[in-house]
Amino acid sequence: MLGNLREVVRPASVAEAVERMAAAGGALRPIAGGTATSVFRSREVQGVLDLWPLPLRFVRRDGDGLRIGATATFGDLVRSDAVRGFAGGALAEAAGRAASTTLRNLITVGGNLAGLYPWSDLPPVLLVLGARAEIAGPAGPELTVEELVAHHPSRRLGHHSLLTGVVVPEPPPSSATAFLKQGESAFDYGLASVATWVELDGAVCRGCRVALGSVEPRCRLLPEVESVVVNQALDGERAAAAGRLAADAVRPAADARASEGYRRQLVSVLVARALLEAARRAGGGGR
Amino acid sequence: MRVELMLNGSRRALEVEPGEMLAFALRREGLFGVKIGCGEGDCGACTVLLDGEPVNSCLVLAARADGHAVTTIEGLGTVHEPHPIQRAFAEEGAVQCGYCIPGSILSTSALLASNPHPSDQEILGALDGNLCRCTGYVKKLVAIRRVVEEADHER
Repeated sequence: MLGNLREVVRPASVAEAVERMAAAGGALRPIAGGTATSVFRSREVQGVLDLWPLPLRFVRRDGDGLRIGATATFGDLVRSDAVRGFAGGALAEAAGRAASTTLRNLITVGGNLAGLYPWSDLPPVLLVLGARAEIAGPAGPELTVEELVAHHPSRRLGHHSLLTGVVVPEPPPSSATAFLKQGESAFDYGLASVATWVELDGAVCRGCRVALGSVEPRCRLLPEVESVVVNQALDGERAAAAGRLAADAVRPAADARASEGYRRQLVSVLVARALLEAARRAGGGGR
Repeated sequence: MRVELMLNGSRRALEVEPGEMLAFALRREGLFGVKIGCGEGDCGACTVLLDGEPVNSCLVLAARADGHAVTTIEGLGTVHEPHPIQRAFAEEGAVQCGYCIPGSILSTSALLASNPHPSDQEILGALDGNLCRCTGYVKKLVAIRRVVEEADHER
């Protein structure tokens, strides 16, 4: 029971949702999957804006790429042929590695991004794919996901703007993504997660992006790693060098799950493996 | 506040508090097959089908069920007329303490509705949100394989 809640508002449109949020000045919080219950327990929150009635639960691929509505669930991504077949499949892999089947039917793309937790699984993949966030309200109509997560998204969105979806541009041919996550169990949050995107020209890497999740307080791209890999043959040695550089570039959090040093070691290994896996897929050896 | 939903196949109206979770609202209606375990989405004892998908009803606001279909274990079968999954779980010894069973059976039912011939990996994956700490998962796997075989036999 969320005893502080006095009302559940069910808006008929995105415009109404944004109006109600602006009028409530922080007392009304958008809710979708509702798995982050602590967000709604705050005494400051007197009501929730239920996003399910809005037509934001969709996943489709068109000429521009993949369009995913904010209330599409992780279950929707895992079950979508369009998502599984997109850029080597890291979006579906990240969604599929989160929590459990029952929770994946609640966790939404919008909540995972706008509510951004250190362990949010999807944002690192959105970062390497250069995705854009679609926003209704004063902070919109669009920001890159990179801009949105540069600070906590709640700072960008405030109490008056609503994340309505993400657009993931169609990646160039001969490129692919990979996602790797290490947790204590399949269910647990990640101790470290890595998303990679690699573009190949024969054996030579022409483009590369690496993003980390669960390591620092917020996920981020690691541009310093790209220079080690781009315009080089991406073999095991090169990938291992990139992994070592990544481990040096991060400032891992230490907590009950893992020490700083262990996270650094995970980063080194996972970055190397995820680069090789993306390269394998980009070269036609993958999906 | 008033919530209108399809509950186990019947149109129903429930009076709920704005902050009330679906699991508790359903138990108040006498649907005690909805179990409360952890109350925070870890154990899956409160699993119900929301529009056919298994979800942790301890995390779903009852208000959210307005206009949707909810199925609890009571909607699947009864003691006298058990659902084939319930019969197989009982006969294969997949039920010990029973606390996780309503959720496990609802998750199985959602799996078989979308995937009538799951692999062992897919069966275990579908149950990954339903923690069982006494029977374990091997007997459940055996029971679910049997349901699949029996359904094939009847076709």
